[in-house]
Amino acid sequence: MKVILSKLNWILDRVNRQKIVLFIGSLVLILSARSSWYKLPPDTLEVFQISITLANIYRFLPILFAGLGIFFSICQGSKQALRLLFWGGLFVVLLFPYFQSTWTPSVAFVAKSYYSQGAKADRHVERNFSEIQAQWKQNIELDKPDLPESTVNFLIENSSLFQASSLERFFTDILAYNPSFFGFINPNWAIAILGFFISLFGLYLEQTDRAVQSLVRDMRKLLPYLATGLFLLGLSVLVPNIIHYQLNIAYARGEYQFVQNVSKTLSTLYPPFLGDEYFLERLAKSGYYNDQPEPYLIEFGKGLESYRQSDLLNAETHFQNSLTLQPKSFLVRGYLATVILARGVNNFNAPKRQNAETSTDFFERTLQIFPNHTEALYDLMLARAINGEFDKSANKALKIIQSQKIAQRPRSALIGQAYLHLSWKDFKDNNFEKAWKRYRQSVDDGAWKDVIEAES
Amino acid sequence: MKQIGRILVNLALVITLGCLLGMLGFSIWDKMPTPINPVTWSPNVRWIEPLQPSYRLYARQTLYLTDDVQGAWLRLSADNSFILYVNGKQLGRQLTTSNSSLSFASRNTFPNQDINDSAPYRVRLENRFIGYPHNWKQSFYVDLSKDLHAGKNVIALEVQKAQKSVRVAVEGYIYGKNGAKPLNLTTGEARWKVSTLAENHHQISWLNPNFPDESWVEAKVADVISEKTFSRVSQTLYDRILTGSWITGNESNKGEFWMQGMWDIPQTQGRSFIRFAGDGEYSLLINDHMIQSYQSDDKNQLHLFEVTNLIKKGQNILSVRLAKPFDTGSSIFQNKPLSFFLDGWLETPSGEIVSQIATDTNWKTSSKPNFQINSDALQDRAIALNHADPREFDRRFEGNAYLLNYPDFLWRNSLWQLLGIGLAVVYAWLLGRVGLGYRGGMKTFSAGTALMLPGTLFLIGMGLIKHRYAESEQGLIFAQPSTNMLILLGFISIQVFTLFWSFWLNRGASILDTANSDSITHSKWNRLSKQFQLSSLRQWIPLIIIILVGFGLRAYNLEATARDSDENTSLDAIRGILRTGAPVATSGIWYTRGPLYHYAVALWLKLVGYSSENARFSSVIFGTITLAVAFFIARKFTGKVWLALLITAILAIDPWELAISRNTRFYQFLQMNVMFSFWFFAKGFIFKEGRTYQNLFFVSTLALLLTQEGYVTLLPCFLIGFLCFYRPFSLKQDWSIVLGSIIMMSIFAFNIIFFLIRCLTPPVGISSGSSIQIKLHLGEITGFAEGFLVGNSRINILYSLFFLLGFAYFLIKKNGKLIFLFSSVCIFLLSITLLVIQISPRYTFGIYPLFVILSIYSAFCILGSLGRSLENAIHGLLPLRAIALCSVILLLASNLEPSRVLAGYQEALARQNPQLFEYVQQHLQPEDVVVANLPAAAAITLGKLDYFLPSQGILSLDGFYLDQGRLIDRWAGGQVINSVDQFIAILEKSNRVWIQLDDNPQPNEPNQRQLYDYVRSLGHSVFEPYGVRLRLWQKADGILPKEINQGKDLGNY
Repeated sequence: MKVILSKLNWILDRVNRQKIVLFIGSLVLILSARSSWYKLPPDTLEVFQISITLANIYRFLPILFAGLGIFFSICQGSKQALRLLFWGGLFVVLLFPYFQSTWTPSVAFVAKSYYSQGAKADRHVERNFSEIQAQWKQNIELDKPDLPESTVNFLIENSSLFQASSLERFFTDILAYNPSFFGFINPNWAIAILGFFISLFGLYLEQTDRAVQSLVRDMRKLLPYLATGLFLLGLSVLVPNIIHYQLNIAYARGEYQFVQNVSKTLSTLYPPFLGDEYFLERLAKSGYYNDQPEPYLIEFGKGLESYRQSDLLNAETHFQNSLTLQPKSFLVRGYLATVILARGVNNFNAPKRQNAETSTDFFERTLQIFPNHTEALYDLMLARAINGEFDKSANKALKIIQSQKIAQRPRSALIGQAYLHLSWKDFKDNNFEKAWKRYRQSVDDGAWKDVIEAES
Repeated sequence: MKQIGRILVNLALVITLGCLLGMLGFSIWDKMPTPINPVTWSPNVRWIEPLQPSYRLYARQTLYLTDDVQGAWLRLSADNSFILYVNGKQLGRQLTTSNSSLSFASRNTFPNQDINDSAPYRVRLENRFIGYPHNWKQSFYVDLSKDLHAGKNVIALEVQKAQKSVRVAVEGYIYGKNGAKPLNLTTGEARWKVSTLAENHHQISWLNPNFPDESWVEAKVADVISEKTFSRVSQTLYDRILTGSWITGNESNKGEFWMQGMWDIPQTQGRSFIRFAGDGEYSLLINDHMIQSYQSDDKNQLHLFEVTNLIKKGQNILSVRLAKPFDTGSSIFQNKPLSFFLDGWLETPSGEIVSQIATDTNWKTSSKPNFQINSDALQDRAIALNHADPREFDRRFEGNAYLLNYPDFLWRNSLWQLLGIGLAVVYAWLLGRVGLGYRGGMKTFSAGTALMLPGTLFLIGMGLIKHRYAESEQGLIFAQPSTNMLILLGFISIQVFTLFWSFWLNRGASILDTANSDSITHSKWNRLSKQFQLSSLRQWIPLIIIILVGFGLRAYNLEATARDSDENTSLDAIRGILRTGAPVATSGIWYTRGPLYHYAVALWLKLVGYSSENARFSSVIFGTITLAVAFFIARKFTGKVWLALLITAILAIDPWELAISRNTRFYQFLQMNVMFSFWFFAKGFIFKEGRTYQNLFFVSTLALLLTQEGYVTLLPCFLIGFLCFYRPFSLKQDWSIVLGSIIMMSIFAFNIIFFLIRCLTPPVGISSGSSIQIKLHLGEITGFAEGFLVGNSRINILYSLFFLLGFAYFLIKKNGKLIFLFSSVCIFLLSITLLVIQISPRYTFGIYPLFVILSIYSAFCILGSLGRSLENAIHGLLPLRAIALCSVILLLASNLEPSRVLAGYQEALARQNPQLFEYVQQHLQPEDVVVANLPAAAAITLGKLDYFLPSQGILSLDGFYLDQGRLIDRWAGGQVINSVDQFIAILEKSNRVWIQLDDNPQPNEPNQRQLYDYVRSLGHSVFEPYGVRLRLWQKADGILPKEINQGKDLGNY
């Protein structure tokens, strides 16, 4: 025992705690770069013509810092420069959600849509569990879908915003630290932040008695940059809002040319406006009244008007035209999917329940426009089961499970019901053993992993 | 470096003062916030009450109208919360019935009728031991025109209070055609019939117009309203007849046109209002300020705005743009002109209307966008269509229109603040130069800043007290029109007094001579400080007194509040331990959370006897011990006995601490162990006072881990502390630390594994809330921080402010030990955010005393240091340090609300579930069936429950389990039901059904709403204590409610 203790002490004498901590921090940083920091279903990315390159590039940053950390845990060097570098790296990593949601609004749009769709489907299960669980569910009502939310997170409505209670919105809306964006973030991003903190802790630990002095000295150096960064960040959302407000006044005054010109510049400099219904409708109308119509926007505006008058058929036609003219418009695509789904739900909820069969066409079409649309998949799964098409219902259930796999926090109620519908299929196929396994999965999240792997 | 630091501090003070002065100037002379005014009730208005003392009052007034109404409104003040219905439709409510109340008149559904324009913090409700706010002090206005019709109408009110002294006052009128005398709804004049139970006739609810209320008695008419009630809304908005016409103009070929009206305002004294509605897409501007734009057709919506801050004396221009949709051919506007309606007026402080505007033919229109005054393009006159009919409108008060113009707000506010800063800088320099005769740039400036300190502290203090003032009824004074001016006068008075004081002290002595006085002041201060540094013997007397008071407050009248659901859960588990040795709930499910706590209390109850009060008393003991530990920690880290005593005294009367330490739940036990852990850790690893403390640290940490598993999030804090402070580490000498860690973690791991195995598998296929609650995730990341740093109480904001400032202060001071404590709080919040999915502020309760200790110590250190620095700048001419410290004490005292803490014994809000089930128990017959929304109390009182009716039909968290194919609640084992069909099946096989219901609002989803209404119309109401109600359905009554079976009674597959 004594020998082991003395050997361990010998090692500890040479490998001090600060080096161990820095090394662990570097390992954590490497761990964080295992996969892309943001994930969306590939077919969705393809249909929406969007890429998540930024998330892929971003993860190489921690690798760089991990290398630095490992190098300096062995060699000596300018510690203050290294600390400042790590602080800089940390701030850049912390800004990942901001960059991703601000400069690729289509990604934020899809993530937000999936998040709200999942939440609605989940809630539908929780409210109607006894009916959904029952195979005989002829009188169940489906929820009407909502229009997708705007991608402008930080829209100022009035001056009450400039109060301390709005500080929370700095994190949730400006930095995009909100559940909908986090819905598809990879926890590796959080692990990278942890890695930076551990590495910095290791670097300060090395200063032994002067750690706090070093921290204060570093903070003095960083504070001006940090303050400038925060100021610019604040400005980057405040200025677009003020311009947006002034555009409203200009529009009311009939200064359409001004509205058109400034709107186009604004949407280039602050892309989240490309996913804002109000902004695009105003731009469409300005062009219309100024005799410089933008056809895809006009069709979008007409679609909106029809939707507000509950004329879903007309709304679908206009949104479809708009999308044909501008296939890259993610907002139009989202609206079109919602309108088609709404038609399907209306059809399904109509008093004569034989409509369940025809509703499935609408749900399928929704999925073509917006792949993996969670509400459409869920509605389709239920409608197929009601129609007695357990095979097809199980297919959709499987698709739900697969799409939820990439979510950061899968929706348990939704997945549970998907497994239940898989179980019915197996039961109908007289595969009782598998049906029992599936049933277990619907009530025990511990059983998910094994059988999912067996499936794939 | 120190010199630069001092300069920066002086500059920061002057800038802060400048900003505060600027904001005051902006609100006094530029854009005044909407004031709150006392409501002028008619002298005939009386409070009405039930005939017998009751928690509830149901009131109905039946009206027979011969014709459609031209206008109808009412205002009401309810003691203490209400729901208003007209002809069965809910028009609004203000309701707080669970555990605690967030704030004064909160949770109302009347937009823009709050007492100010504060944007509320998004905090979760947490149990606090505090008196409820007196919501009757706020009056609400409601328009009824749209909901009344010719024939029979019923206005119904449900009022509820936590004491048996419920009352309500209503004043309202219904205006008929041709100026006929209005119909009076006023309590004290009109006939209101009342009941204390929510009765129903067959399935017709009491609020339904067809409910026969012949058996109801007339309300007891009580006193006239002698107390002041307040509102920001003007009565004129509701009782003034609509004066304008719908007007239209010539559209362009694309279906758009503009209108312009002039509004002459002879004076600016008073408040201005407008009401408007329009067709299609329209927007309204006043003097080029956007009021609002509307995208879709909402012609039936009458928008009510206050526009006082947007109008000017003289001629004001109102501009409107209206446009038809793109697809005019298919729209409702195909053959219809667009139209617009507006009326407005200026109301003097005496209530007189001096200037009016209304849409009429004097308005100009144009098909071209030209808003130039006197432009030729505006030659066309508007065409009047028809008079606006009040019945066609839904009215919505949308508040102060100036709030919407945030760019102007930002611009003007910035200008005012720059002006304020400029004034403060000049004033500081003048004070130093002229007032004190200092020469030299920074010395002059510092001396001036020092003389401004009392005034600056006053303004900062007022700002902090005002912050969140809408949450406190005492804060009503800050919404009075003259308050800002009074604050400014207060500042000026303090400044004048400070000047005179300094001149008086300075008289006859040169500045250079004050070096002597400086040393005299310092010696006086040191003497005073020494007096405060109590000897080891003398410190115990005040400590014992504080702890005794804390104990008394915790132990006094433990029956004052009813048990909540969490308490019932723990009590049930403890009873299971006493009965079987294992924490088996009534349902048969093992409750494996917090095993150490539940076994400890079971042992305690075994010794002193089982009762709810004795169980609560165990928390009183834990809470009292926590006070003592908090004192020791504070003394250890601050080195100041008086400060440690003050902190202990504040914790002794803290409403959150009081609530939890009177509650049978593990949070207080957990907090005690957390505090022990920090204390022992500090002594064992930071101050290195012996191995015993290290061992005690492992024991207390194990105890906290066995009390709440989520507190594993605290371990990183201790690890960091260990790595920072425990140097050198030798495995040979410190083997006991490794051994202690291994034993602690092994026992904890065993607990977790046991927890996972023994807990029944929750059915994830039904609710997402039932999945595992501790795992690395990214979700609502502000939830825990907001719950902890903002909290349910205004004082939390003060704590948080000083905590953050203190963190920076001690960092600059390089105090590593305190930085460790600050970091621990932050790391804990971060790790609990990342690891715990279910967000609830009480999960952070364990660390709360540490937060308070650090906040209060920071406040005294920062203000003391600031005062001393500025005192030196004027060579001790004024006792600025003492002034600064006094201001901290005043600030804390004015936010502690001790009167509301004492009122908590009578007024703390808690649903009276146990009383309800005691009633059931007394009247229960062998074959009776019991159904409940809130089953935990049933487990304790009845020892069973037949059916669990989830509140609003939704299941959440860990409230239910699958047991032998039955979905049951985890407390009393009631089978879960969530459809009307399932309920009918129960009625068919039962003779008597007791139904316990909560006061949650009606759900929106049709299925849930149907069930909600169905159970509330079954049988008859028999007992209605505060927050819950009991109904009894009996087959013998001969009524089996019929609903079409939709096949929803099949339950699980």
